[in-house]
Amino acid sequence: MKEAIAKMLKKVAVPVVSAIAALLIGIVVIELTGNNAAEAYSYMLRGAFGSMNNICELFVIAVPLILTGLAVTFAYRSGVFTIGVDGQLIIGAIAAAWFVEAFRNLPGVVVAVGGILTGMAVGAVWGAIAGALKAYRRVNEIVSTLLMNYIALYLADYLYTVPLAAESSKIPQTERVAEAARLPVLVGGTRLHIGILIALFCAVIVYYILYKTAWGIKFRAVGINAVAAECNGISVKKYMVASMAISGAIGGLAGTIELLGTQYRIQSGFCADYGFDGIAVALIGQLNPVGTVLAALFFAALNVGSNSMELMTSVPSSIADIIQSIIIFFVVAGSVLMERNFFKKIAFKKERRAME
Amino acid sequence: MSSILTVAFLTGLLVAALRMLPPLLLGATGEMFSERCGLTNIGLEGIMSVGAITGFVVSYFIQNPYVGMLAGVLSGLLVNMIYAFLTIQLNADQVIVGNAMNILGMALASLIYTTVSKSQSGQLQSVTADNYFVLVVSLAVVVIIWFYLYKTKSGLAFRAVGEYPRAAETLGINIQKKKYLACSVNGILCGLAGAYLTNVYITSYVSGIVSGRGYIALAAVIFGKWKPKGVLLACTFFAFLDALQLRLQVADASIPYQFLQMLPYLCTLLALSFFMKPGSEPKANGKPYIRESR
Amino acid sequence: MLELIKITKKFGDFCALCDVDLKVGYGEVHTLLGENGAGKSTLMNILCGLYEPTYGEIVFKDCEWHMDSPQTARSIGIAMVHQHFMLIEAMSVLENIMLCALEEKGVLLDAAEVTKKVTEIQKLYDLKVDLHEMVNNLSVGQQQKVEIIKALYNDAELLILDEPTAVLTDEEAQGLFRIIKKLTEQNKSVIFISHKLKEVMQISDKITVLRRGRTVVTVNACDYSADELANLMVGEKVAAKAYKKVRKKDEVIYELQNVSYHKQSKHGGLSGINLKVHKGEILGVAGVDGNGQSQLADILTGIQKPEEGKRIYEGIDANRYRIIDFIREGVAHIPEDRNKMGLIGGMDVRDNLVLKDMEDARFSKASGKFLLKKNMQEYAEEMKEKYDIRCSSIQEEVRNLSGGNQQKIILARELERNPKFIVAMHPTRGLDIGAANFIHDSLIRARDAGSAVVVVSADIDEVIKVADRIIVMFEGKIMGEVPGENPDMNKISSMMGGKEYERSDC
Repeated sequence: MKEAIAKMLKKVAVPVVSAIAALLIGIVVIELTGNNAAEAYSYMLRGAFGSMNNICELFVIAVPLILTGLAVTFAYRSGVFTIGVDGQLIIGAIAAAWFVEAFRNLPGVVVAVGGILTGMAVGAVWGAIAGALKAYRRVNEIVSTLLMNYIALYLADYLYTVPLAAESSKIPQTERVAEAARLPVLVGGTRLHIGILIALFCAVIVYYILYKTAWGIKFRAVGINAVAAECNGISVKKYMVASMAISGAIGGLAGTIELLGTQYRIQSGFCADYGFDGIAVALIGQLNPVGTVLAALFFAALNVGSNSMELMTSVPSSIADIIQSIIIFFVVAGSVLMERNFFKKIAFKKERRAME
Repeated sequence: MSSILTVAFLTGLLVAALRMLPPLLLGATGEMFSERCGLTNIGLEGIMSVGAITGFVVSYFIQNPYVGMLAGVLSGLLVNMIYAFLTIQLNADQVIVGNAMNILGMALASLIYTTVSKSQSGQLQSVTADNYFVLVVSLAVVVIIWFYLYKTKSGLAFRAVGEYPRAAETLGINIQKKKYLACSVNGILCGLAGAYLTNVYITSYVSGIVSGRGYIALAAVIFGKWKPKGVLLACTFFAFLDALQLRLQVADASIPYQFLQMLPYLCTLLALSFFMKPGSEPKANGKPYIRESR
Repeated sequence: MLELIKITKKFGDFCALCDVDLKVGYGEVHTLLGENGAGKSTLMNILCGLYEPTYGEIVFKDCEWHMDSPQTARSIGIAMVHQHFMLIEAMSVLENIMLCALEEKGVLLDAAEVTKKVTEIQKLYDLKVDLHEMVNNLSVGQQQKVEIIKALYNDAELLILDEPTAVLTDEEAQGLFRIIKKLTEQNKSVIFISHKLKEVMQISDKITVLRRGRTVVTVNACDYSADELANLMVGEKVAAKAYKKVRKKDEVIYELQNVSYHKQSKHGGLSGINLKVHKGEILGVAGVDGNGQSQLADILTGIQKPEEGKRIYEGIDANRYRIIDFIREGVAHIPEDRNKMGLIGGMDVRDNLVLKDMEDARFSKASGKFLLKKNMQEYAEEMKEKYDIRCSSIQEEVRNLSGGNQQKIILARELERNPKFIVAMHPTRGLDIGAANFIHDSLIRARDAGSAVVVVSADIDEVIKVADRIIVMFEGKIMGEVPGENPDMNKISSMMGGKEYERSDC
């Protein structure tokens, strides 16, 4: 039990220390822009947690972050280093938008569920393409997903500009999702919708698959050592494609939930770079579903807080992104250093002990 | 359709393509150079953003675009040292660091712009530099890089690091030095690419001005098979497509310009998946090198 | 020419080299002989500047040197040809050679100048290679020549060849020996690392035997016989445990008919393999490493499919079987590289133990959809006892365990499935004697329980110890067969050298 706690502490140490260090650097940056950092941070804190409404808003922002973070976590755990969640998200969302529009006459619940399933399916296919290219054509997944992000982006751009464009609108965008098909609001008077429950449920599912099923062990085995996995009868190629399909489905889900629960329509800049934020979230969450949820909530607090800070002070909200990137730098450096010194020594001692 | 195939249209297209070319070419050449030494840097977009804002702010206050571009170059160099330190010294994951570079670069650009524009009044404008100065510079850079890689001893050693660092080390090549060189050049070129956008391409700053050029540059490196000539051709092709796409948006709305925008990525993906023989990529690209692995 | 005095190298607490002395004269071929892990490679890495010794002196040409980097070694005339060539495949031969001319004057590459010098070297030592060919188009033997040219280009006086013949055909090896002769004629010295006694006897002047990081003795090659050297190398012979051999033949379980795979590759392929393995016997596969044994194991376990011929398992055409099909049909695999092919290093002991049985009702509900962690835990604890796996807990990641314990995990996983057919590649490589005996005992027990076992090993003693029947492989072919009981050693060694014998029954 003691060992388990020590293990936990070790996992948590790097992200927490990194976050604190980045917030401290944030102080310097804010002061450099000629503002009062203490004031800025207090507004940020109030913005994130000051009222029920703010806390609800925090959860609203956290929903897509949790989902994109989970999409990245799942793929990384299976050894596929995707940066394609952005593409899966937008392509899933646009497919859902089509479904919602095409079947608008059906009952709301059916439309919403159908939209979610469509978004997930299309996201899964989009992800699986990159997985298949890696498995069968040995195309580096980082490159292919990067390219596919832009293909998805322009494809979606075309779709909401021409075939799916809202009729009475001057700027290119889809029709608003009908009231009935929107995700129900959880807390009256706020934007918080049941998407947060879906996202948390999704985290549970990902955790369950990765750690409680034979598939999970196989996915992770492929991620750690594909050759050994293959020799032990695991079809590495299939698992690669499957992991990207699942990752893509979660990405598509993220886009669809945003569409049906928060934004109701797709236009230029819809969820831009959420996928990249997902990588940061997953990384800071140490590629663990629980950690991912926590990291997403932290980032959401940072974003919501900095937005209201921008309104109250003259500190730009982009400070949140800067802090975010600095956290990543520290987490990366921190894990490397941990691995190098600290960890190696422990491993070495253990080996000695095991041999005796 | 025939109405757009006029001489005026075509010359306009050519001029536009030449205006598009320098940032792509600089970014792609820098990235190619970096990857030939084993460092994949997907943070080009971020570095370019920093170069763009620094180039603009300096040029706005001094009212000299050349000094502005120099400042952009220096800022690119400086900011890419973060990437260099983390990937070379700490062997950190290049994709993750590159990704964070993008977030940092874009946020930094936006932060600087908001801060500066709040202290000034009215629309910020700087003076423009000569249209073709940077074009000439960027073409010269390609030639110089080619010459360095294939005709000098140092360049040969540089390539060896990207292919087989362990062998390079036994030959007495200082791997870290080469990698820092790679990062410096990449930072400088991306910084210039960014500064070009705010000093030549337009003379003000708008948020998101880099608009994916960093990523097209990445695609161009692959499409150009990691070779200077190939990268030049790929960039020219992509710049041409970009120019055509912009013209079509204005000229004829019935042609979906988005497909032209998509084309560079689609071409690269198809080439990579079906037409390219594996093995053009430097063998050690993207992999951290850990010394004395025992 | 070279003298090493009391060289010691420690990795952490582990002493890889202890007070090693070595003297090499001008124009001498000096062999370092020793088993895997005796410290040969470490010593050479120190000599060529890759590692720094913890303490000790290196005297070269009457000067003491502080060997802090590969350049120092090269600049004073010590060059190493690594076992894994340090060649850049995407470059031409000439470019590779120019890479070692970087310190010469001038900023630019001077292809003409280099070519001139290289051609002279090529003529002098008879090293024919096309300078403009890309390295990845060259054969292994040619690549080795490029490495030697590189060394000579740097005016090396002392060449270190690390197991140079391991990858060569016999003919190529003889060519290499001719080159070595020419080198010594020019008063250059060669340090030759090998564990192949025959060729060591053929070309060495002096031999230094290393054992567990210490010098045992340095002798003149002509004063000793191969047997005596072998004894020095291995140390005091532990009385080999004798196992009872099985002679009667049960029914055939696995048969290969005329199987070929990458035929043209002598050291990475198979050609026309005919093989029958019977229930309840151990078939030993002997031969020098890299003569198609890995490919044979890959074919037998389904990692590769035969390109020609037939694979028949339990009387059924198994040509199209995948790995998983063989696993389901009771084929067990103890792979040659346990870390690369056998274990998932970043997972714990428990998960590795059940890796092939997770869908089993013992470990999960609904065939894998819900793992019964408690049952897995209990099973792992049981295996830990039964196979004497030493780890701090079954939650420990297997990459932190020693080689012997890792091998026991694989053994437990494979043997507990009651396999009908077992392929064991170098099952005891790198293990101490205790662990090795444990593994041999387990294989014999599996045989007695009716399994068919194929043991592939480069260690002929291991094959003789456990096998009931021995075949020898050479360049992707089976050279012949001898019984496991009182095998004809001369016949085995001549087969390992490439002489083919008729086989009555495969």
